[in-house]
Amino acid sequence: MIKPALPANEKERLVLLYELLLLDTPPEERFDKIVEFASSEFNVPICLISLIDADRQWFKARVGLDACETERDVSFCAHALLGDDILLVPDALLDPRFHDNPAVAGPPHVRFYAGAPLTCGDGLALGTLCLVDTVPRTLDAVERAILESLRDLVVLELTSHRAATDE
Amino acid sequence: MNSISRLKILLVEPAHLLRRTVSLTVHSLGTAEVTEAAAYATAQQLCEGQRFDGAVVALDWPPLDGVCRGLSLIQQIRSGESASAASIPVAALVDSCNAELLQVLRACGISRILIKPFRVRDVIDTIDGMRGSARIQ
Repeated sequence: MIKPALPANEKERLVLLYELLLLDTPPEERFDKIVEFASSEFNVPICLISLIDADRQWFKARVGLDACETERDVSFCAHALLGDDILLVPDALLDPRFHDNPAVAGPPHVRFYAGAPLTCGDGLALGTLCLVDTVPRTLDAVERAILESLRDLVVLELTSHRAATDE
Repeated sequence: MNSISRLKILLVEPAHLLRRTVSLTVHSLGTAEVTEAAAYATAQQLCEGQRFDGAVVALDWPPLDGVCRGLSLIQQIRSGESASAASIPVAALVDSCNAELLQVLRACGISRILIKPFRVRDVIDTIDGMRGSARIQ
């Protein structure tokens, strides 16, 4: 397993994440609806809005997973933060970053992962909207575009309060 | 000059998440230009003022007060009371479909019926399918 590196803008990223007052807040219908919609659209058992804190990932909304957080070291989403595009892992068992990850070897037995970084206007990625399946698969161009659209809607919701107070 | 990117589609769908996801995705794919309407009154106004190459209309069926505004909108297009050609391809999105509705939709010349649960992908494929039958302005 390869532990995720820290983004170059980690400090600024965490400042924004804390400013938005999202961590450890109760579930909200506006986010729950999106993960339920995405889970149905892509027919995946697990869909998450994952926010990457300093040493953990915490789920603002989740379908198909009981845990509300995991360690950052084992987080697929922490890897997704490092790029601008969707991180696509068609088969985690074949990927050196993840093949011996505890979430692959044990429950929830991740095989497929697709995480779209939740990047705000200032280039700071707070987490991901991600899809997880227990069987290998991939996304075609249209499916990737759909995931990106849903990601954009999540970002709008995450930052809507900030935009309103900036006006 | 005819161009794929100039395909103009009216999407009438009250459900925010479905409507926005379809519109954002089609925009990013560059396959069509989608104009969104969350309400039938808005859609009727848009139809009067703008020319579309195709329409995707969610139907309020069965109608709560006896009037199916989605069907009224489609009939408005078919009767030539819009800025678009009366023959543009129109797809219907419905919660369910019985023989009565099917007969009405056939009479309206509906090109495709999507019955819930359908996916965003299905709506996008439907819009793509309109390219062949639409006469792009």
